[in-house]
Amino acid sequence: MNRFACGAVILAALIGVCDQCAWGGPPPARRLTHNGHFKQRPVWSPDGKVLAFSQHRGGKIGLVFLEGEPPRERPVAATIPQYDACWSPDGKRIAYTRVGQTPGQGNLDVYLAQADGSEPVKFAGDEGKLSHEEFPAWSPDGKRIAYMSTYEGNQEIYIADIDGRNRQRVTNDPALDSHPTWSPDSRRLAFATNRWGDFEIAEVDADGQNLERLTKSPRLDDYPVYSPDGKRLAFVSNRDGNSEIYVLTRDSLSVVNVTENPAIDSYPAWTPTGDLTFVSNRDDGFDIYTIPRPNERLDSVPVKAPL
Amino acid sequence: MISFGTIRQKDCSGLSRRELLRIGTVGAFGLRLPDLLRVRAAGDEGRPPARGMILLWLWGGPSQMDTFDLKPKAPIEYRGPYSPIHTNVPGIEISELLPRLALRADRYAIVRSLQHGTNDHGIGGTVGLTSSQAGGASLGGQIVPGRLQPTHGAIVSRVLGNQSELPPFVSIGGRLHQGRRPITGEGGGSLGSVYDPFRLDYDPEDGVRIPVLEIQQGLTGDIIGNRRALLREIDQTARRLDESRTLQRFDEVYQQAYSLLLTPAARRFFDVGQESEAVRRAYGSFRFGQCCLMARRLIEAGVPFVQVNWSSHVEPVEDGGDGGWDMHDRNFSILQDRHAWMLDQSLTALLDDLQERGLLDSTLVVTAGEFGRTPKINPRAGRDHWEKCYSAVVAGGGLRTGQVIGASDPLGNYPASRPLSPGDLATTFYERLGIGTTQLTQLGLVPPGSLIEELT
Repeated sequence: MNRFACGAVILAALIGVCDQCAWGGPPPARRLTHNGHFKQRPVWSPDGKVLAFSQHRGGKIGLVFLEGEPPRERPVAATIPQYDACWSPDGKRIAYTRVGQTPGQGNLDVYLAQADGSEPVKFAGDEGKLSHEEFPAWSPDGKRIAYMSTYEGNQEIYIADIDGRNRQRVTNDPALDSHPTWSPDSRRLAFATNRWGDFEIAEVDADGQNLERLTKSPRLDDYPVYSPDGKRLAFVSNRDGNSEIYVLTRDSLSVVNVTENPAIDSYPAWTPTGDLTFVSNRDDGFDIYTIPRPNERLDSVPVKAPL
Repeated sequence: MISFGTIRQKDCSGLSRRELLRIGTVGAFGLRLPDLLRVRAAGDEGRPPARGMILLWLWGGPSQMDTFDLKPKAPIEYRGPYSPIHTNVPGIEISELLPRLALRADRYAIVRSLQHGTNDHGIGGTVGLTSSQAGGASLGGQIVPGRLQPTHGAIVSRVLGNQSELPPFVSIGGRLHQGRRPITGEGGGSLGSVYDPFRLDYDPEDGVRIPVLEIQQGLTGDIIGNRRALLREIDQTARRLDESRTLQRFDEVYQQAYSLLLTPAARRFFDVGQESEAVRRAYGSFRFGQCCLMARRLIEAGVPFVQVNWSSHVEPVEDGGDGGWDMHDRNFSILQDRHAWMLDQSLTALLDDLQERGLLDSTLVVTAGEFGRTPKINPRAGRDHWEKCYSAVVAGGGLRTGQVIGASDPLGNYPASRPLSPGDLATTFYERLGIGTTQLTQLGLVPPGSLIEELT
């Protein structure tokens, strides 16, 4: 590395540190659940009144809704594993991963159902050979669903109309492409990919064009989610040695660790009003927490720099 | 299923409100831990370096390529998405998913060149637990010819015997299954069922479980609360078993179970609720973490062999299992979201705890599955079974740690040096426990492999 490049790296690192300093530390988090069972992928309903998440309990995994004040849990009755739900923009339906069984191993498909879990119908599944379809993300305009699938022998991102037709492959790379999320205007998809080494966050047009790398860290970056205004993405990273929630400002690509906790913090989700929800084991077991409007504080962070 | 074998301990108030059969004590357990350690220390001379062993059995087969044998320079179809990180031993790197273990590499050795001859869970499990395929049952139900050999815990408990009034071989976790088929090789084998493990389990909601006490339907709280009625019920159940051998075994198991249940002093040895909140949190509140803590307590109490089964089924919950390591799909999501950090936290806590209590030098800790996983990522974002080259982690018991034994080739397909078998590993930890050729031949057994001298 020449002297100029070395200086640039040091400057970028210092500016990044400045960003973190200006953030001033995370606000107190409100704890929404208390049972300590492992949880994953919390997702708020569009009206912000119901939180859907997946919970591991007794060696099983299933969907749970959290609603009311104080929050009460309402598990979705099911005899087979189903998890990783998302909401339709009108809040009337959900999409989720459902496990059917094949001889010897499970078979993941994407299903749609009414918001209470009733009337399940298959949205995406095998086509002639075993493949895994999972982690659906409903576009904000309500027209399409993105998901990850191994239809063609590698894990890629696909989108299809909500009737399951007009399927398109968005990514095409021998790497693993994972966990898609839609931009609020339904034009772009962010996802995690290891095409540059370990998992990084990337963004691409819904038709697969204009791929852009958003993060460059020596560690894992995963589970991106756009803020409601589209200006930022929250994601998980272990770049500081343990799993934390970071927020990336889309224009500048600067990032800030908004959880700063020695526990494992993962699976970020935004409320419709811009609060940030996540799963953490900071109180021993895994529960769901939320911190108020990090974007408002991040707007006051003066220095922006790529990282 | 009744759950009267459960001790609820959702808080730190010690034994639960449902504490069972609060009757009787046994004087032997009046010894406090310091007394016990003093007695042991007095008899140190000439004893083998290890007095006990904990086997952490990662059922389903963990991916060596994503944990302890990364190949960052391999093509993307092989290397996976994780980076290696430095450990506290120069030159040794492990996965970024295991940051706590990376800071303690001086306390363990990594064996990177294990191999054997089957990629079937059932038979591979039998190999891993007995060092032989003989008697192993495949997924399809075929039985490998030959006499089923005793599992490691059976041999250790047979040779070392009872060192306390607790059973000498305790298995924590459910019986190992492949699909709906229980595997062979978890028990006494040629030594007889009397050397089968005494089973315990832990459920995050229900606390400690004693599965053998849950097999009788119809036992109610009223009956449980009345010792005489309970014994009468047990006796009636025993009479219904018409096979004398089964009956004998049943009695033995029950005697063990009740010697525990009837003895509050004994129960406390597997009552993790007696640990401080800090210690329990260090291990992790999830099932495997608390099982590791239970294992430490049992070793401390003089149980010579404790096996902790990560899961009963090979399959992860996403495949209808109960969280095993058989990740033909979602390998990377499951590893980074759950399995890797759970192993990282619990194994780290176990090594730290044993070290702080002065028990690590006398306790072997072996972490392995029945095989590894394919170096090449399969078309479903997973890795399949791979028995041709995989890793295990060994610690304690006076082993030479802070080193890597063997190496895999650049793609991780085969051993590049020092190919070793599960039998070699077993021979090595038997040696640490003072079980050599003489002791084995007296049991009608032979050493299952060659000593891994670099470890001793």
